[in-house]
Amino acid sequence: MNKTKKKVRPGIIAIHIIMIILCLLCIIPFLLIVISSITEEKTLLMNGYSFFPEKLSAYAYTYILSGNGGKILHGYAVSFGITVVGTVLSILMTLLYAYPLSRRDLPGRNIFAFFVFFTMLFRGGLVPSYMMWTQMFNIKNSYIALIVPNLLMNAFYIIMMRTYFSSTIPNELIEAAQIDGGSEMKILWKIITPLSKPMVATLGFMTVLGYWNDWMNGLYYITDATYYSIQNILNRMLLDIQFLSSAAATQLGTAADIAANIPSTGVRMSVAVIGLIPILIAYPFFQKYLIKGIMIGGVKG
Amino acid sequence: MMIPGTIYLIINNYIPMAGLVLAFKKFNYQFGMWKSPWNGFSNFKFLFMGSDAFNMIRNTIVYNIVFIVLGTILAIAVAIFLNAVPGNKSKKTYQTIILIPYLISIVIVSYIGFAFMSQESGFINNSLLKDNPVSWYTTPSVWPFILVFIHLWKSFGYNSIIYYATIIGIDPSLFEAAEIDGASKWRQVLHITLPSLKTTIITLTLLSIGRIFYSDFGLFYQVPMNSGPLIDVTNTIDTYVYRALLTLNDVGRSSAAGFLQSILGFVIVWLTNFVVKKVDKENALF
Amino acid sequence: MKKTSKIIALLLALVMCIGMLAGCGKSGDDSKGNDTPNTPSQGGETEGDTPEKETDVSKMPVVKFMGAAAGLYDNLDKVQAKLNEILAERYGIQCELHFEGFGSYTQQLNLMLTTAGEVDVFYVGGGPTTFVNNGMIYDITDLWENNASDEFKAMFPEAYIDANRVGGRLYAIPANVNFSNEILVHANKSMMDQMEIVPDDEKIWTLDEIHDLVVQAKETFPDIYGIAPQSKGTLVNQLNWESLGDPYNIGVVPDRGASRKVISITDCEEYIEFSKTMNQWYNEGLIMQDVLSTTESWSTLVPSGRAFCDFDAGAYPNGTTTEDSKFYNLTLYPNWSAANCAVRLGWGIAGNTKNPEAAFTLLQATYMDEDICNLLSYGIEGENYIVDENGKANFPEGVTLENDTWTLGFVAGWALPNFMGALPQYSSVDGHYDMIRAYDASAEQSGCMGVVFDSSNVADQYTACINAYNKYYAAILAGTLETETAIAQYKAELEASGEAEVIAEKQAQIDAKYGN
Repeated sequence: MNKTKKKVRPGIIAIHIIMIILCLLCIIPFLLIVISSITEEKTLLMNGYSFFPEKLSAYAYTYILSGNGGKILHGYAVSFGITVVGTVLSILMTLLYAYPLSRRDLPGRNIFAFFVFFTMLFRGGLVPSYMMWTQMFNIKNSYIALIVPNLLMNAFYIIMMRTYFSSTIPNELIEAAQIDGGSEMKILWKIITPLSKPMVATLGFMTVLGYWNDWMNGLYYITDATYYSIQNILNRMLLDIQFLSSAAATQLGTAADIAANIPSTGVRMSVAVIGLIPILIAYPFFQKYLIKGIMIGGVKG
Repeated sequence: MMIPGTIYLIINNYIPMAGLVLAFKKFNYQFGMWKSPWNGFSNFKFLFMGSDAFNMIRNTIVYNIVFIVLGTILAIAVAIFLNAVPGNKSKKTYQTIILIPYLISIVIVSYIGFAFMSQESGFINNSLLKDNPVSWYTTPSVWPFILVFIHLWKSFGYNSIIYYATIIGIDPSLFEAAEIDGASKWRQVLHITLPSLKTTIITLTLLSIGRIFYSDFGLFYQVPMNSGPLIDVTNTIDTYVYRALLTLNDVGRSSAAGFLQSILGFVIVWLTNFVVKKVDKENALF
Repeated sequence: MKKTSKIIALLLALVMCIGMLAGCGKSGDDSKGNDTPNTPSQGGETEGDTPEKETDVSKMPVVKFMGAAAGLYDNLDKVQAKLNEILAERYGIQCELHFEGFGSYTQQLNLMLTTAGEVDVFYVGGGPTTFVNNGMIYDITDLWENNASDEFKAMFPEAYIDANRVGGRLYAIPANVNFSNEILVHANKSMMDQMEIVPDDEKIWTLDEIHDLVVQAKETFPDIYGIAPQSKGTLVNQLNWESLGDPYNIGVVPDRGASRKVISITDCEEYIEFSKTMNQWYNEGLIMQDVLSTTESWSTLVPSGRAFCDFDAGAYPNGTTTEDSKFYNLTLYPNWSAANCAVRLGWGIAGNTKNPEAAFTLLQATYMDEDICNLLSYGIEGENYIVDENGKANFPEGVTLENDTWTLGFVAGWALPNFMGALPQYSSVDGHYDMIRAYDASAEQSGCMGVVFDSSNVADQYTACINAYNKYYAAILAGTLETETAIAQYKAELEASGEAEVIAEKQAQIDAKYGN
């Protein structure tokens, strides 16, 4: 290791420079969001967005949290719950489907692959889905509505998983395990999954993102606020603010003076920050598995 | 093993596909999906009326091709760089940071875009082009570049992490052997990494081709702020359908647009997959 | 073979599982839902005590009410309980309230209307025509004739009710709001005061006078925008041409519909002239240069002092500007009632309702019952609002617009059936609603009153024209494009999109009502 390190040092430095530039490109706009979320609304209106605002204010956050603190915590709890349950179920189902699909000896393999792929191309649309979920399965106002429709299994993840299996796991390994008399379930669980940790962690993280950021299911299937996820609560707040700040534009509105004081842009930005932070905290956790996955791969190799 | 997944796909995806019949019906809420009267192909007509039909279809396809090509190259390059960076700490930091754009909702992206490009208060005009400010939101010629840039910016982290996960799954003994043979890093990338990524690249590309008639609505509608003078270069099938049906509330016509986008994508993927199959049977999607 | 049957068996099993799970969620939910109708009769918690009343309430038909909310409605459970108390006592029905934000209202309504029994009474935006074409709305002609009280029937002029008829049948009742608007300029009051200009409320301003005023403001306050957009991306929505409720202005009748002759917007003298003027103003820097792309509208820019003024349409009778108002209203064109004035906001009954009579009873009560009007507007008295010494609705001690849990009436009462049936709000001048009524009565009426464009016969051409509209209409009107060239392009694209057929259809719909 040490030897190679020395040899390619200029190259490594170049790579670091490139990566740092890319990271700056990613982080600067994010910083802008964070800074605008703590910029005083009037300053924001008068001077536009700025990295060095004249006047800071935590008003947007206090505005969101005052009186809503309990609601937001509850929303976090709901989102956390559905994310955990949904991700575990989703990864299990994806593994179970993708593994046979990756096996060359699966009869009708192409048909099953096509069966998955087809769902990526053709979608029935919202109206029929809604009719089915509410009329046949009656899921309105339940946690199931937040977990099951659309999010539970993603054709893209199945195909990625399958591709990963077939491109990185040597066939001989499976054959050897079969000769040892392991059942297929056992092979999947004991051999394939540990070897696939990097992909499982990656797809797991994407599923987490999917559940955490989803507000569509909540919008369509939830009318009872006790089932609101954090995204639905934050969305509701954004809408409320939009109304308040446009209230003055209504024919008989006299609320204009109040509207001007509501931190609409600041709130929008702080809502983005509030929604993002848990994900940024969760990500290193998944990375640990990614790294672990590499090490396991290293040992096996 | 595949049973739970199969059942889920049947319920979640295949049953609602019955809704595709709506593309050929005049949907009436009182009659429901099945009893609504048939309408032939007349729901499709609105897509081809007017002078812009060609324009929006061309935009959709060309943008997607550029996105696929540049996006793939960038994502693979970043994944390889990530892999080459020594030390877990910097790896982790880079990985986290490049994912941030993917996490920011497109509405917020449009706000950031405005912060940079606003004519009077934007950064670019205020700090870089003080003497000749550009009216970004009324200058169509710059928008193809802006849209490509924003798309790449937003998606490269996500895609490179998928490629990265594949790269770190490559059997390390291959690299060790190459090392012993004295192969340079560059040759290792060329002869080990890229061939190992081939399947993933082909799969991801085929998947993107399947959605070549679709577009990211937020990118083409929110980010240009729905500015009229830009429509010639920002109009895609999705934004056209959205604008056209905004107040008409027409389930049949919107189903028809989706149906057409799907069927055309399907044909193209089918053809591509056929070619892939001819060349390399293992890597075909189905 | 064996495999398939296995799959089917498992499929059924899973379906049942999901069904059961869903059922559980649902039943748990139901027991919760039951609390609400019970709450009103909580006094009689000892069940044996008032058995008759209990069963009555549970037997009463439940009407589901869906509104578009432009304010907070967090106190829904209490308001619904109180509402049901009133409804049970006076009308023998029960109600479930549901509000949806304007942003998602239409989509949610469309979804809910696919299933019978999810919505009964709902807010109809933009007129009933589309709803009728899609079979979403109930024909209330007979209910209106037979079940409406005389007071209710007398609430609106016959012409306004007629505007809600499609093919002679009645489908919706207009919301009780203002029916005429003037076109005006809001000017920031503190800037006007610093410039020592006190406008005369009665004065009709000309564009030239506005021009000079903005120039003066820009000189006095060099760091502000002159004219802010009326709404996001639009300097001004519409002036004195009649579009028959068509938001895309494809084919218009100039001069408030006087001639009843539909022409292309690109031939409309007022559109061309106004755009030319705005083009000059834009080039002089009087108009916010980001007018097409800004994320803010006048309602934040003008009151905050970021912009000096803006164009708007609204009902501002003379004498309604209060001391603490943040802007003056400078009238450009006096108020008029457009052809669609009675269908912009309305209320109807779902086409698949199970109990139209009960639904109509609720609909009528939301207009005619003062207590219900107050409840829907301001929520629970003492908690969400109080009646102040002037007899107006005001915030209780310590409650503000920001933390009140029911603010529909304070923020945007016009989204309710009859907010004028409720108390006036604290910030309005005395007799505000009477002034609005008088204002409407004196308004010039559109020459095409009651004709609301139905695009269904020319929908393909119409959608193609919408595309051209999106490219040019607002950009030209905001003065950002060189007027003559842009209008020529606009004209060419509209013609290529089948504008002529849309115009002919509009003309036919006017002629059908008013003859040739």
